[in-house]
Amino acid sequence: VKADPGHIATNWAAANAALCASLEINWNGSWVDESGYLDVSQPGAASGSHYLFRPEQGILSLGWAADAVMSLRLDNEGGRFSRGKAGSPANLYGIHNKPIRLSIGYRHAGGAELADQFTGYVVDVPAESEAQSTVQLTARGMASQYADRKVSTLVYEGLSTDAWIAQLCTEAGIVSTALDHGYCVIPFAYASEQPVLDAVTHAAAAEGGFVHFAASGALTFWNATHWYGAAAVGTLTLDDYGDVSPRSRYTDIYKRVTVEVQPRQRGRLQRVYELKAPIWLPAGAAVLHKARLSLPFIEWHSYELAAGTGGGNAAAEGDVNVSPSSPQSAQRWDVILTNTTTHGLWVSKLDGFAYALEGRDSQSYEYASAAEGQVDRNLDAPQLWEIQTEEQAAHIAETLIAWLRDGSTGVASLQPRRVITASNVSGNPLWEPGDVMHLHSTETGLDGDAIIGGLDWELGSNDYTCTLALINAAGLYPATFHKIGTTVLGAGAYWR
Amino acid sequence: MNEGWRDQVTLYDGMLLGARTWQRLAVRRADWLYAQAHGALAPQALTFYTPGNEAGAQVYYETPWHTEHPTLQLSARVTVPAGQYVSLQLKTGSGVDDWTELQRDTTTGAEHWFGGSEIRTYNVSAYAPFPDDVVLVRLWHGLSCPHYVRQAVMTGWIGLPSYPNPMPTFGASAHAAADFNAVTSAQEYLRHCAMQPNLGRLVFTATHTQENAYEPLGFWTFRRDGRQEIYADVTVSGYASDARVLLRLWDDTGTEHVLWNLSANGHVYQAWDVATLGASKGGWQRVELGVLGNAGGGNGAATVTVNSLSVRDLTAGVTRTYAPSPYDALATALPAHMAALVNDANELRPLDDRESPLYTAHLMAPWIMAPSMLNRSYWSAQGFRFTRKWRWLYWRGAAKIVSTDGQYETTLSDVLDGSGAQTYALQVYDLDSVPWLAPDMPYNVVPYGGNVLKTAYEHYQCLSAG
Repeated sequence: VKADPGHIATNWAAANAALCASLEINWNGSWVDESGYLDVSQPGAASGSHYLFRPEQGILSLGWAADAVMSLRLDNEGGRFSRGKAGSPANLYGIHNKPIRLSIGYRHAGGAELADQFTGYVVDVPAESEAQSTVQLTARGMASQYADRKVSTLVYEGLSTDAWIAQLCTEAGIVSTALDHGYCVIPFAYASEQPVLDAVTHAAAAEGGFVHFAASGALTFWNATHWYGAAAVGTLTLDDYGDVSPRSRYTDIYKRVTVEVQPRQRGRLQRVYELKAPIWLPAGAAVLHKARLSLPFIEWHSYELAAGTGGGNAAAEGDVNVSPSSPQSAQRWDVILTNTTTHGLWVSKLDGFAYALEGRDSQSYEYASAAEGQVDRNLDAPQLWEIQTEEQAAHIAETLIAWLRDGSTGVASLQPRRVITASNVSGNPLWEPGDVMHLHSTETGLDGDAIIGGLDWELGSNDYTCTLALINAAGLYPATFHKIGTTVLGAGAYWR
Repeated sequence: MNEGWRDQVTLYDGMLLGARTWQRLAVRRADWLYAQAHGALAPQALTFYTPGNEAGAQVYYETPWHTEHPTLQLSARVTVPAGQYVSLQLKTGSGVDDWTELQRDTTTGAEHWFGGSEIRTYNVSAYAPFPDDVVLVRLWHGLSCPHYVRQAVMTGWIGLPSYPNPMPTFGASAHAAADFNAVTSAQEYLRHCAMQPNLGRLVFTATHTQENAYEPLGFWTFRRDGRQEIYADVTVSGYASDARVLLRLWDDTGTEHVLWNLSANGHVYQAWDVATLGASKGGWQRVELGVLGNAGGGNGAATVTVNSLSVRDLTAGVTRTYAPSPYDALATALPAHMAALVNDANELRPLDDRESPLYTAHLMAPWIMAPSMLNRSYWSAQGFRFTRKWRWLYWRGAAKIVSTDGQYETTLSDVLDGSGAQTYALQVYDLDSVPWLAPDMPYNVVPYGGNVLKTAYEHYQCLSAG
């Protein structure tokens, strides 16, 4: 749940609290308050969605959600959001890809108490609406900004999952992060021109965790025990929702999970780069050479360079300056060769030597569940290179099997974990995906905790309503586990 | 195998204690460490020189260079005639003559400790980088300077973790993450102790003939740890004229124990509990094989093939007092589980009062002795027998890897100079690429044809592009 600046929770429960919102756009390097152009008393003033999973794909897609979206209906009588209106911010700075954020809350004691609702980037104001007195502005979450951002890193040994995600974020320039501690260690991790969001999502999934961008814009990693002992942020009963519809994906029931392990190891010192064609260096010139290594390297050792005049005279040491002297990332070495002499030189040899990272033969590990004996179906877990040990494979297999099965009391073991949609809920601005909600639904017999896996929201007519996609949390943590620093040894069970 | 080791995640308060994500990994690491402390050990074969009338260098030792173990520790006995000397030299360049003298002993007279003390130490880090990233030393000797090395080791502990002090005592209470992480730290410390080169057991045949005198054929040394049994396997042939084949152990107090006094042809093998022979934990023991000539005159003779000489666990009565067990998810995490991990680690600390001390020492691998080093003996069929432990095989000369039953063999490359002569350049082979050679499998490394194998040893890292 988001942090309450003071009285949002009590105002949400109160009868006559006044809803309010703060809208800001960063047109040109600083945030500008645009709240005056968003009228929350108008129907359909703002709407959006924020999901941790793809509802149509069930629990298995947890952590692989589409980006958050937001749509705003803004006052444009002055042409502020029209690109063609001379002098408008949209005209001066453009509007596409401008950072935008929305906070909502309640008026309190003459001011406003607000919580982050959306942080992202403007996609567009449709040209046809620019001529209207109101414009429809659409925005996408933070993921849109990084969707195409690729990273290349050095090889890192023995990083925990969260440390690797932090490293990837640093490389990609993702500054705002909130990372749980990871449970697994990745023996050898590197990225080579890999989309950063793929990399962080895969790393999280490899240990049963999840990555998403929070409403604040922070890239957030939750480990698989994130919800253990989490208190419900509220209770939903019949009076609180318009409709509730549970869904089960029976195709999510598996007897076995097969996980592929892709071990890696440190290789021998070997040549990882060899110059294929000579490079001509004019006198005093610097030439950028983009070397691509044949193998990712763990530890750089040295390079060997040979150059000559072409007339048979070998260059002396120091005639060619090499900078940087080692590659910038595991497989990329953009090296500047500088001829320090007053005559041209051919670089005929540039070999790089390093301890390479080697892959070992991959192996498949199969884990059978006793509970699903009647359904002889196999789940092939996503092939993730981050899974490099049998132990991690076993861990992820056990996690997947347990998470797929609904742990509700009295529910047959063949019941897949249900997703419940509760619509037309009076929304609390503090709720966010990932919160635990207690659901009491006499119609469905559901009476227990569920995780808000997704949230469609609408702001307008002085009201804030939500449709919640709830993941039944029963049996996610089927014991009292040993919580480090808290549980007495002997009083709690091992988690996976 | 090094790849059998697993990294362990750092825990934080608030995390759940996992079975597969932590406890089973901790047990796996403990088992790996215990296996290092109890796997078969090849005693360090000592090289020696019983002179002909020549000067030169015949005794060589080497090991891969690690900055964390920068101190060469050498112990040798020398005899220096007037006007001669024995010099300890370090290879510091790739040229044939790029040797740097570390110590020169010119003390004449009776046999004495080289350099004037039983153990000489030299920090050689100032000479790094070394050719092929290997520390290679030799003893250069003048005319008629018999000598033998008693111990050649790289020691030191630079930049490596220390053992947690104190180790936590787990009880029925809530423990902070630091307590669990102390187990991880202890295991990391012990891992560094266990990361040592794997020396091969020197196998050779020595044919010896002489009158009424004792002549040593081989020396070995080892430090007694949790492994308590020494095993020897030799074949005696060509026995003549009442010679004796002696195998003796000198324990760390200097007391001599005669293990064998053989006086007939035959294949003999036997194991001894070194504790009953007076060998103390932590003490260096020395084993010597030799032939005693006919006391009554005439040429005593024997051909002795050393098939194996190793140190290993007793076949019965080995106790791992605190063996930890792996647990699955949903099993109750008990203080006893954690205590077993702590106690098991404590028993592996390199201290003399521990059950299975993992003493840290990078024993240097000897070069095989050339026939010219010996007096009245002829050596042949020299090679090394390994129990595969690490991935990388270092060797110099002409070598082939042969399964112990002779069914499989893989010939390794040799390096020749322009005239076709062997250069004995250092080479490294990836044993993972030998399909028939599984971890923990015994195998031999032997020369082929009329070529020479200088040395061979396994290492946990490939430090050379050779």
